[in-house]
Amino acid sequence: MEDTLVLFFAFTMLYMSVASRLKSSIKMLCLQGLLLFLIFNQLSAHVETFNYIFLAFETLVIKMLVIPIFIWKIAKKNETFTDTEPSMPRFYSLVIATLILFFGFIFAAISRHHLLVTNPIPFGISISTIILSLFFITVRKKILTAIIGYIMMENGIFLLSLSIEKEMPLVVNAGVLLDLFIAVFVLGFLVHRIDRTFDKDTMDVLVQLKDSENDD
Amino acid sequence: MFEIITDIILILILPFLFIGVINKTKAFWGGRKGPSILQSFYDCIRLFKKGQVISNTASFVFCMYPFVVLGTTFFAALLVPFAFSTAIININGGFILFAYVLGLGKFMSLIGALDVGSSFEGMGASREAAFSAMVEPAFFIVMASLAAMTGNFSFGSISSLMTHAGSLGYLMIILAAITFFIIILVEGCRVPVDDPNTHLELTMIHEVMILDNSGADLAMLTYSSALKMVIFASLIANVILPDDLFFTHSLIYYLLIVFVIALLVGTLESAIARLRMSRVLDFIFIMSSIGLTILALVAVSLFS
Amino acid sequence: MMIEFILIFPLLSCIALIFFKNKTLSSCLLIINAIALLIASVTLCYALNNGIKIPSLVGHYFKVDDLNILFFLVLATVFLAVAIYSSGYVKAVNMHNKKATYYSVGILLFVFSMTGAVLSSNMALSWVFLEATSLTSAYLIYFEKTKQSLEATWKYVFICSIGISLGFVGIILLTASLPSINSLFFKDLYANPSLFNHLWLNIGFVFFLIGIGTKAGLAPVHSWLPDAHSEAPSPVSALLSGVLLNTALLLILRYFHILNIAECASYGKFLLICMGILSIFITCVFVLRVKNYKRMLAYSSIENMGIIAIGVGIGGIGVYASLIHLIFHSLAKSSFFMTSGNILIRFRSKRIDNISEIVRSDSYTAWLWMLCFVAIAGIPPSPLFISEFLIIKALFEAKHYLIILIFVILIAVIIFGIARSVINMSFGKSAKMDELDIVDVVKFSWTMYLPQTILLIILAISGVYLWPFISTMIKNAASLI
Repeated sequence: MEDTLVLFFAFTMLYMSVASRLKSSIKMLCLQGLLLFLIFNQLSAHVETFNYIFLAFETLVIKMLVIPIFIWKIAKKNETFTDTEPSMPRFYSLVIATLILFFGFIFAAISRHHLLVTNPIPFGISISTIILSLFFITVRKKILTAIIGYIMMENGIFLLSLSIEKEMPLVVNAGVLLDLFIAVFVLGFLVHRIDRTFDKDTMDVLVQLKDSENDD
Repeated sequence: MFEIITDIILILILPFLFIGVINKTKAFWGGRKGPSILQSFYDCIRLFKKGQVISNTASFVFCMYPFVVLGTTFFAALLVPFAFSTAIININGGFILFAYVLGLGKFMSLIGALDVGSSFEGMGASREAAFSAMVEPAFFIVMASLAAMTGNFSFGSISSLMTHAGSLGYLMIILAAITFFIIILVEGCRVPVDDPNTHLELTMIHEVMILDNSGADLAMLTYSSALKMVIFASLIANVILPDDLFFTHSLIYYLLIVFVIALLVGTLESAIARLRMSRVLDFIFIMSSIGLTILALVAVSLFS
Repeated sequence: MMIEFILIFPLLSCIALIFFKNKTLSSCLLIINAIALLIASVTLCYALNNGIKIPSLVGHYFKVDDLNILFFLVLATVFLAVAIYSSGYVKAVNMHNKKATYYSVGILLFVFSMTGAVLSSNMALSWVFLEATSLTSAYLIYFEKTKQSLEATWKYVFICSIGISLGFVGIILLTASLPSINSLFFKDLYANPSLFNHLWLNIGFVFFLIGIGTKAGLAPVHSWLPDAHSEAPSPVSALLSGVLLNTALLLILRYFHILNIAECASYGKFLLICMGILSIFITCVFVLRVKNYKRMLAYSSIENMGIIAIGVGIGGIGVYASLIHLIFHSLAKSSFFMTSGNILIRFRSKRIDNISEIVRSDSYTAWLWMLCFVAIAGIPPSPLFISEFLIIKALFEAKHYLIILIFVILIAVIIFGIARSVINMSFGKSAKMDELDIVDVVKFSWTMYLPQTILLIILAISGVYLWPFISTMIKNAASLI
């Protein structure tokens, strides 16, 4: 059952590669939070109660509600609703996303034999999710989409920590969650400032600092 | 024997009924009464009685290609299981023959459209070629996954999927059904891929290819296009239905499923708008991507 | 109680500062914190060397051992220098009360998170504190609120957050490599070296090195460093270059120690040497064409981090040399940045071409600028000469002759590049000189000269004679890498 859920997680990443409206990307974030909660239910049957409640809270509330609503509020303040033309045509980014996902499965197959992972499919998909999020961050032009890519990378890392058999202590999970939360806050604040200062919120305004001609 | 006769009767009359149900559904959603269900049948008879107008610049290819299209589609229909779980011609690896016979028909229609010498048809031909090219990997991936799961390389494997399906099998069934449905939309030129009612240069794809055909040629092309839709609808029906049903039950369920698919196509056509040209490619290719991931999942689960 | 005191006192000072927004109070509290930190570090060092145990409530999570006492001492020294400098800086830049308060609060929080990262005895806890340093220093980099500093802050926070997340992947793979033990405390990790799965460990180290390496300023993941270190106010740049890069490097060294005791360090060493050489190469390319002197200093930080990485990667006496390089580079670089602050306030321009003949308007700054350069370049009596010499010796013993050649050539070119700019700025005459109006009515207080002088004196003495107890401490630390 968890293989199917992880597959749907991979499908959300595929959809992200063709989505051009910001709202669909944010909806994918919510969906990923929900899927992570369901996967976490399937995979860790032997977790003690407090840890379970905390992780459930983390996925359901923070990843599914708080962070997407925060990003949407920033989008409304910046009045960004669509992604401008990305650096490569959307079709090619879909092809590359498919190839990276396929590579994730190959990696899962390798890890089953040589690394003796007990949950190879979540492991492989999480690695390909991390690589795919880095790809989105580089290809897309809007800064807000870069933040969404960062959050998806964190989701992939969470999936990775679920797929390794060891259970992360509560302190570690709490720390990671806190850092993600505050980082998203700080990044959102900075995006708003960038939009206000530069009047444009694409990545190509961030070219002021150069080595060759730099005046103060 | 009896099954073969029933299948041939179905091949002959189902395409007209299919188009009729789609048009009736669209009329229903539009609040109209709509043409009767047998209207396309009457249209074909009328077209056979008329003469043909052929352009001066066209060559023998233009005169020949509707026959080739009709013949290949009919032959492809013989390869596919219809109401009963076995096809009329049952070959091991039949799906490859099927795909490329249809490809031959598609190729002939493309060059026939180009043969007229009008740039209008050329534009339609290029668009049609792109979309069909995107559909082919999806089809092959789905068939490869089915073959991997059941170990059987013919179309008969589709039906057997339902009888021994695990959770992965259900996923395969849903994936196969959705892929074939999208192929119906692409090959039959329905919304969201192409609008069959539009006659604007900006938006025509298939209609523009058959713009210069008239009379019996047009009748053959219309019938072939409808037959292609029925073929893929039969594939969906065979994926969903198990293969050990009694004769009459099998027929009734099959007709029911094809009827429901026609309803769905009509509803979809009324409900959503056609996608932008640049988005249609993404839409079609995402099916291949999804198919590829599921194939990879199947491979990792079964063969590791 | 010492460690709790170190951790709680900055937070209390922050709260006090937020209530009473006063410029002099903020400067005083900053200096008091720095002195307290220095006293605490010296006490902890003495206690560690003589085996005295100080009772502590959080002693499970925060511990001082041979390695991080060095880093902690460096942190305390640089912080004291920056605190003294800041008291003069705040006056010279004419910050009003509120802004000066926020400045001090930012620095205190930043130092608090760095202290936590250095002192913690749990891999995950130090990771959390490292991410906290990113977020607390973001405000400080954006302090000037210009367009360029906004862009620099964005790049800094974004790239460092991505890097630290990749570092977390490394930590996850580390826990996967040790099937039986479920804790991330360093003493548990170091206890059973033979149980580690080498493949997982190496894969985890790659992720960890790339991830935390972005924070440490190793090429090819260094791209945020020139922007962030040049756009921040000068005392903050001193802290960033002097201490933050060290803290990130400490984390890498902790992980590397696991590789060493599990005896699968060959791939990790190769990776460290590659990244080191790449860092020096990139610095060499860029320092010749850079036109902003603070960026030049930032690139020099990248080069020095590369040298340290090469030293650690070689092993043997290279590790000892790297630690010497680390300590004294922090002192030299922070005094370099603080002097650049003097120049920036006086000439109001960050371009090298706009500045010439500092010696005419402010001869003391000009001499400090030159002497800091002498310290950084590794010209004797700077101790960086000793460390670079020992690294070349270690490379000789390991028979990597090609690396020695590349190393020496690149460093020579870098010294030439920096020397050209520094000497032109200090003593060179320029035709543009008379057109620029120099703010020499501003008289800097003695606090803006004293910290650099003291640090340079320490460097000069250490370059000639390294006290034996310092040498022993460094040897003990090297055994923990």
